[in-house]
Amino acid sequence: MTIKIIGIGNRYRHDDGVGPALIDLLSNKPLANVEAVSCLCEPASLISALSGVKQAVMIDASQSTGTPGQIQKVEPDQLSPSSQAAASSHGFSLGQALSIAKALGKMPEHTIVLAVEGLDFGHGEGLSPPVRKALPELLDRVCREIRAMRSNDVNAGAIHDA
Amino acid sequence: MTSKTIKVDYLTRVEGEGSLFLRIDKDKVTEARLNIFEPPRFFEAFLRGRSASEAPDITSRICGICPVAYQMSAIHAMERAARIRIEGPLRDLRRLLYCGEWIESHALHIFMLHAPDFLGFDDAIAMAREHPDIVQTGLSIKKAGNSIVECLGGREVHPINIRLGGFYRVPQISELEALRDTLKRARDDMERVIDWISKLPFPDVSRDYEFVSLRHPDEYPMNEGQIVSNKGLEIDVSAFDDTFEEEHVPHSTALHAIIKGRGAYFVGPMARFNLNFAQLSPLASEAAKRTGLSEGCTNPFKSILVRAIEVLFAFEEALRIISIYERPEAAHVEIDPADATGWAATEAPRGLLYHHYKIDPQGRIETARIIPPTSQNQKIIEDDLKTVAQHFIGLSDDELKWRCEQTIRNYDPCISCAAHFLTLNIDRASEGL
Repeated sequence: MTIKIIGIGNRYRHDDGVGPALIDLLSNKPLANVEAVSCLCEPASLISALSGVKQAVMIDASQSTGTPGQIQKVEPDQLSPSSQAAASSHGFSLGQALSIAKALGKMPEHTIVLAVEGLDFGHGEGLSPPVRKALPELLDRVCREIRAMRSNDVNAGAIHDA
Repeated sequence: MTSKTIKVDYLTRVEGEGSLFLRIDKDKVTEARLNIFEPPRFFEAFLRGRSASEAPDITSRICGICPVAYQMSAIHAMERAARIRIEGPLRDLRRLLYCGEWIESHALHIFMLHAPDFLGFDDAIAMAREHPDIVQTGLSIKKAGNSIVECLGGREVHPINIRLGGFYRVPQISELEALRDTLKRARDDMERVIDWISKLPFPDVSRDYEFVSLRHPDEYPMNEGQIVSNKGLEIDVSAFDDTFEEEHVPHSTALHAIIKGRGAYFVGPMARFNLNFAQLSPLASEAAKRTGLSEGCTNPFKSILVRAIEVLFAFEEALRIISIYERPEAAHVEIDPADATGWAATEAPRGLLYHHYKIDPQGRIETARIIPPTSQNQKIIEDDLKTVAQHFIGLSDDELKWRCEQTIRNYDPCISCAAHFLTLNIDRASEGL
């Protein structure tokens, strides 16, 4: 079964582009039965990208109190559709976009989000040194998540077959 | 009770930072203020000294949802300064690009921001749980608009393919043809969902407005036309500064615009619709009539339905342009305005957007003046708030706040564009205070 990797972010705002940067890496090293796409955090595009997908790994930049380059695995339910972000008519947070996808019944059966702590979200291309340095580990984490999802498939199949 | 104050400290589902303040004395609304506290952004100042050719890309950064409008007004103003008119397929492509932006912007506002107001939902997420089909349809419609902007602009947000005299690259016929099926499906979806929108519970509120928009003899206005109103205004864009003026008010970082000697005026979809009804496409015109809309609509809450009619129009117009498109040999015409003055008004999704530039002999911008639609609508919004709050004076404070926020969203205000612009405070001071 195809697994979809979605790199979310704006590559013209430095570290916000870490998701698309990972998708660029995957384009040079395509994985079997994996579809990789970049996407802005815009509900129409994101929900379209999730359409018909059973398993998805999303990569997004985070801005919390963590160390730049640190990778955290987050379940979609942990992303709150914060009310403050709802204030804007121009943008939606990933939490809001995924909440809309869930309300519309468009969420894949299994979705995980890998959040990479960013350092610089200013205007311009290119990742900051600590985030760029984290890309190999991020690729490794994505591959591990894909293997785990496939393993669950096999196990689910085994249970089903039993 | 003698008086009270009602406040909303941070308005949601609008772009930018603003608040609302209402003062009510003896059940009479005495003051309504739309406070805009977003800091000024100084775009006009940092345009000075830049090349005329940079104006479209710099001004497009004023807004993430209507960058095309800023590019179009800037381009037309510079071309007027250079005394060059762009015709033929390049003109058509600009109009097609504008169709894409109207669809994106209107669909976002109708389905994600404004419809929840009419149905009592806090936001689009809550609405999506109860009306998934409508929200899904709305997102598909918006995505169809995105596809036009991406095709012509190079990307969905902040397009980068627009320049003085035309485009950096014009699409192949096949690239536009590839959009056709998506646009047809979205047009049909829009036509169906208009009937659902027309059944929303519209408060029965009307006012006597002066509507202002462009009017063009041959088409529903987007890029060109005279500035007209339903109260006799009929001017060339060059007379804008003589006809309109901006004034500072203490509670807003956005200038309030008025018609000299007359006062507030109303720009945006309702103004365009009322002043250009005859220019709507057949399907849009028929849908308007079917849903009970006709020229002369003065209920601001019906702006959501008017936006829907404009989306339907934009799909038809986009499909028409695609059907006649012939790829031009040159993607642009060379234009180098110098030692000249240029001005233009185009119809942004939210209404008339005016640009005025003075260019020095070296082709650098000497002065720039930009008057966005939300800035022009501020006074009308405050006047509406007084009328609506008075109409619903018997409601509880929370219900009254809801109605007031809905009233503001009738205008789909873009505070960030206007700030040079929401939070609601209602003042009904208790007896004895």
